[in-house]
Amino acid sequence: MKKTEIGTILLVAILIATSMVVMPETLTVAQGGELSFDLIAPGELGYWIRVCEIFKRSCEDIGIKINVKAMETGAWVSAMMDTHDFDIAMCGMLMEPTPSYLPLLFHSKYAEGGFNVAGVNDSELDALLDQSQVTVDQEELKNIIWQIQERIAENVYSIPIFTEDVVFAYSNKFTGIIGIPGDGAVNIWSYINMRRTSGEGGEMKIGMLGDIKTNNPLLRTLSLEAYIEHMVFETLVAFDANLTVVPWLAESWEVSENGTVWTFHLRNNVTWQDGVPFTADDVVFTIETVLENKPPTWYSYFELIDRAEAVDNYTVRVYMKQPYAWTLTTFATFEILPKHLWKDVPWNTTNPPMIGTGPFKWVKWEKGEYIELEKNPNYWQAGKPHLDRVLWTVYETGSAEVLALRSGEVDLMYRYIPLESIKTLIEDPNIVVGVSPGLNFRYFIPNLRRAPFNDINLRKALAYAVDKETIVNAIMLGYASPIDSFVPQAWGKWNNPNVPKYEYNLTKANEILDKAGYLDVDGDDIRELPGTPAPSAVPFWVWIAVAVVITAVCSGGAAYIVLKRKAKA
Amino acid sequence: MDMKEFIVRRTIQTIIIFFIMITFNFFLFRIMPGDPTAILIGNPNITQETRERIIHEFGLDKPLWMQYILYIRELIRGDLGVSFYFTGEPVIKIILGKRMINTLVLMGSATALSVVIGFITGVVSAWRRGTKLDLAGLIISIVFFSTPSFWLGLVILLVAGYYLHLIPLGGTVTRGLVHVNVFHYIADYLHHLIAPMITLTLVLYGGYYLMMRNSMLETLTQEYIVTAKAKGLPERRIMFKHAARNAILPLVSMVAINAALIVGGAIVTETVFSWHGIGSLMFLAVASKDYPVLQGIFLIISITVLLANFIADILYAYLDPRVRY
Repeated sequence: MKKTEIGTILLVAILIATSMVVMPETLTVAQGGELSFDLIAPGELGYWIRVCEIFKRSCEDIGIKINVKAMETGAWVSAMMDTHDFDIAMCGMLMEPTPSYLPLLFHSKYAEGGFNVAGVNDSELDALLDQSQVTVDQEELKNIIWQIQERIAENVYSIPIFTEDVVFAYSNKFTGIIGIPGDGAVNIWSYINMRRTSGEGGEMKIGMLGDIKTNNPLLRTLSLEAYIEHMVFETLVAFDANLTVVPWLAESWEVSENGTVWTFHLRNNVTWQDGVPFTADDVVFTIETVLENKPPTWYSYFELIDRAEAVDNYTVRVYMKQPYAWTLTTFATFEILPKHLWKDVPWNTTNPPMIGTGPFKWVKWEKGEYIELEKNPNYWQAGKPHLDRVLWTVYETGSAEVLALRSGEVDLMYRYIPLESIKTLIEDPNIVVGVSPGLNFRYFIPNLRRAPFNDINLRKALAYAVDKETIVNAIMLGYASPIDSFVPQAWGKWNNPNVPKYEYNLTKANEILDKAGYLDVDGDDIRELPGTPAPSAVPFWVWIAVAVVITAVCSGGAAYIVLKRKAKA
Repeated sequence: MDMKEFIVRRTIQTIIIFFIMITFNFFLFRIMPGDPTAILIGNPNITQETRERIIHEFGLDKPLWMQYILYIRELIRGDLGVSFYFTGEPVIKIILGKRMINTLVLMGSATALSVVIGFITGVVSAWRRGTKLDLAGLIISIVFFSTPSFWLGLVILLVAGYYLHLIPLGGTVTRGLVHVNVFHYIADYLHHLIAPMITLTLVLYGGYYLMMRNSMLETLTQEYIVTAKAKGLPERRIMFKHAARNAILPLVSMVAINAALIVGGAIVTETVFSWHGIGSLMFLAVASKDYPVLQGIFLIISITVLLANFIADILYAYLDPRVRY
């Protein structure tokens, strides 16, 4: 063995020894828990992970350690809903235009295996949520919804972050495209009004990201399917741009005093696209089909309907099992199907008769390529629609679709514009960019089943550490709005603007934590749970002793090897 | 051992491997975390009861061994089950339909092109080893070989599609176009095929090139090449008739291994060019945990690879009798 080799071994030994002396902190962990939490989010959504990273950095400044865990989507869902194995989760929901969803997210009966991921168990809140389902009087209902928002925010059961905007873009050769909250450009108002600036007729190509799965409305699971099928099939009532319910196939309606009987008066000038008149029988048939076969997406909306009957050709009465506040949401979301064509086919057919009352007729679906629709010349709103033909064309990536829009291969991109492309589209003189508020929210869910999240002080401190402005501007490039309530501003009158707000404020967060007894007792910049005793410092000579022993062992080993080699030689 | 015995032995081996493989296929997807009904999260109105009902309808509440036995039974009957994602559609219909044709055309043409290009450039490069031509060939092939295909695809889309308007930006045919006759359709289809085919060819040919070049270099040191040269035979004849013929064996087995690509499609390239094929289906199926579709695709890929290797082995045994022993 050469001198240099012995030297190297000695050097390594000394390095190990000194490194142990300079980093003694790692061994002086306090007894009891540190505030170190796992934050789970689906890894597939890169920007969610970046949101989590921003939150993580803020938390570092208030002495809370966050480990961001990017998970496979299915595993993330089952951690949240089935096993409840998480500390904090980032979650996002796409919602309907009325706050009928609140019980699903916060009622204690959905805490096991349901969407009440946080595990909220608050009997007072439960009572309010129950009321929000049965109150038919609109003013009273609004009051209740406002109270619910307040109670959730006061107790920080979850931490709202932002609502994503719906950004759409279209060629300036078209006009009459109307954006409404949630659906953006693809809604019935656009369908009947959109036309070429050059005049009547012509075709429009709408890009879609990926194909639809089915064209049977009863089997629907994607919002894209609803957007396309709403060109063909229509609803009894509709949401307008202010999310107010307005008449559509039903001209007017009234509800009985106890809220259990809804009467709809139908228009008498509507015909199906094959010429058969549209009547009350079709409405009754549609409701009965859903009640009988329970298609997953529809049934939960219809669950509280007991039965429906046709009073005369143009009057339908719907009987509820109990008063239900959101009946109109159901009839603004789900379409009426023609009895004379659907009664002979199984409800879950993959080849449904595509005849509706809508402004466009279904022509064909070339799977994976495009869906073609043409004008319904006998549409019940005279003079509409204006276009002769609409093509929905499939692209698999947003970037390819943006290129297609800019080169004129696509006329309308209704959503999923990559954020970084929006600026180029705004600068393009041939493109019009529209922004509608989204009906969604992204939020953090603390696992209330676990200590220390059952402490409201900790939750408040976490809420103060969410830098919503930075998240919205840096990650969403401004195409989102910070939110403070679980009925965000986009929901109009249902939004309670007076809920307690937790504006980004690390000083306040630190104060709350200090006051509540979460202190950093071992000096590693991470706070410990209240009552954690300070660790006894390890005397300096212990480290020296450890270093000496290691050095001795290493150099002894080296000497042994050298001697053995020599003996062999 | 004669040829017949060899074939019988290889057939039995292939069948055994086939059964191991379907077992593996089955359990592979079921040990992945998460469950397929979780994909319904986007819709909060899917209640817990509904979710349980769906689980029951698809038989996901049965014990794993029972699911396995049912799977084998249906497989023998030729039924690959129904898709979770495309609610209720039979898997066979989804896989062995238009998607398969599109993928076969795309991957078949790209593989054929890249084998031919890789073969010719490999032979020439080895023959002129050490020259600037050889170096250029090496560098170009390694650059394309290591280029991510989604990036290459997007650049081709941007340049040829957006700026030069030479190619369409997606799909297999012009959307909504009514084709006057078959030739019109074929022309339209080929127009859409060019860009993804070129992308794939560029990405794939490097492997064949390197394999061919290496194998050629080895062959060129053989004495019979020296003899051929000494006889004064023309260069091209020695290159392709004498050397390349003997150097082609490794290329054969490489093509057999890559047969998986031909039926499995190229996930990334198909997605970039919105090519309605098996690759994009596989992506969709993974994202939505569509076990039956994934199993179906894997099954077909495995069968193809097994068959391709079986054929390659027999071809080998025929070409080179030493293999049999």
